[in-house]
Amino acid sequence: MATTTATISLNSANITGDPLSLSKTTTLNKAQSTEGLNQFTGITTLVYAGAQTATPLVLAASYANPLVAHKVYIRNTSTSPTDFVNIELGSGNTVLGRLYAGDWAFLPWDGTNDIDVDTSGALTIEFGVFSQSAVSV
Amino acid sequence: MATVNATLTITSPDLVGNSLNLTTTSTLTKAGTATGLDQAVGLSRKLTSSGNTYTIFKADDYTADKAHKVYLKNISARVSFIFHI
Repeated sequence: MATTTATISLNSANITGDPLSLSKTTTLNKAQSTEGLNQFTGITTLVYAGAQTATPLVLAASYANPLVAHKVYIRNTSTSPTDFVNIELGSGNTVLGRLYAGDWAFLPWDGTNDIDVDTSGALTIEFGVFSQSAVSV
Repeated sequence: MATVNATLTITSPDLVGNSLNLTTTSTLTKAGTATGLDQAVGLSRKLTSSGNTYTIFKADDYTADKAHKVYLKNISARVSFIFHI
């Protein structure tokens, strides 16, 4: 059984009157289980030569759903502040949010809807999927 | 100008043949600029008593197409206690 941990740390000296220092760690487990996620795509780098519109990034058809605990990591590697990536879900391309230069997202995903991206222009994305192959309960 | 740094670290000794150690840090900035995000709601806690749909954040309270970030954590220790986003 694989053991994978994810830690998020948020720090700021001045976003509020008191310093912000938050750190949380979780072990990535299969749905409703203490067994670790055991499949991983690796970190993939995609270089887009131009702006993208609703370009599939992660295909739901490749993953079990919906009682799963997949996690998706996406990062916009750009250093230009105006470069962004829209993360979208499903055939309706519902926009979840934008990743600007250097921004990353770490999302739970139930494998039901494709994850697509729009990009503001030519840029590079890193992404990876931590997953389970089948419903575990 | 506020500066907020967010770091994600993912580690595993055995998920793949080589140990995994991914760390990435981002400074949270406003859309299309190098200016830091300057508003935060602070950490809130929501207790639920039954399976239902709850609104955590209202889109109407925020400007669209910006660089908002959301942090959510399920603090339950029971594996059967889940929430869908």
